[in-house]
Amino acid sequence: MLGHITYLSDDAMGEKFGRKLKDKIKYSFDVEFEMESYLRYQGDKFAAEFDANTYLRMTRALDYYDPALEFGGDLSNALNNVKAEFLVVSFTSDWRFSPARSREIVKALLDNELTVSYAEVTAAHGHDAFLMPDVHYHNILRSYLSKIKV
Amino acid sequence: MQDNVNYTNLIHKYRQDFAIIAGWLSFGSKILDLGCGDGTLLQFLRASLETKGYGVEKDDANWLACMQNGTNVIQMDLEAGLSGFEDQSFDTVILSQTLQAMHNTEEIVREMLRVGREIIVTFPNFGYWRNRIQITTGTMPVSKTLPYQWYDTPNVHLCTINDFDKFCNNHKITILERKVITDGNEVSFMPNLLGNLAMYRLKSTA
Repeated sequence: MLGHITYLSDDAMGEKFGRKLKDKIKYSFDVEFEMESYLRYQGDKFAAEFDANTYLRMTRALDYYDPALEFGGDLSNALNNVKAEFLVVSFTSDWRFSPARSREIVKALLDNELTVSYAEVTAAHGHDAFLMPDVHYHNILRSYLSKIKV
Repeated sequence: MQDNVNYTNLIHKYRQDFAIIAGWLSFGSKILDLGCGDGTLLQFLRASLETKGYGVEKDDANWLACMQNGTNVIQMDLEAGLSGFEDQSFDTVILSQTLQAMHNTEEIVREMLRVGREIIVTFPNFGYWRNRIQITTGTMPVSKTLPYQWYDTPNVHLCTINDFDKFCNNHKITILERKVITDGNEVSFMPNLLGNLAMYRLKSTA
């Protein structure tokens, strides 16, 4: 449930649920807020679909992943031999993987004079924005993919 | 990346200020174009001088136009400075007709000098005689180069050529070259009165 919150944004949660109650305040530890109810529902769904151990492994894998580890912690060094061209896209309200993190990647690519474009999409839906039908975001992907030559 | 250059288009889009900028750059140099718009200048420079480098643009539609014409473009707000660009990592940093719309004027010029070995700054000369006439008749100037009404304009820091000369002097900036043009023609006589567009090639005074 905690993980799920990081995919959303303050504004999105506020708009969808705010402080809405299911009934009236009962001063209990049961589900009283709509937000709570939503998170419980997502949590249950998640628990049914994922093996908890798989999730632990995946979380650990993410923790261990450090592309700069063998390069003295310097991402610019790590990307020194890269031949690919890059498109980096971030979403302004994403605090799960914030634009600041994406800009770090862009900086490392710029340091190596690589072909890179970076878009910072103004979006209200946090990390989940990449699942939403945002016009600018879709135009970016469409233009970029249509330029790829094999 | 191979550019798909349409030469008819390029000739059609030929602009004297672009030609002057191109004259100030060397073949294959590394360029950063701040407020690059739809990337027309960078496209022109790639085609004429095989320059490499990046544009910086805030606006979504302009950003997309850059992407579509093969210009590497970074979406960010220049008002926040140029963090993310290393010291002296570009041959030339260009700010073409954007200075007058910047809030943090001193900061962006300082940042340009940090990132580029040389910088090019161009801006509409507020001292141009047509602007002065409009002021003397008691109205704010509206013209081809200053097409905005006072209440609806991105321009917040308009200046004259004399103002900018003084700015450079006060901020330890060396003017390597200055050209002034009006309707595509170079102006050497009384540039602050007769010149419409001011163009400077600058570097830090060592």
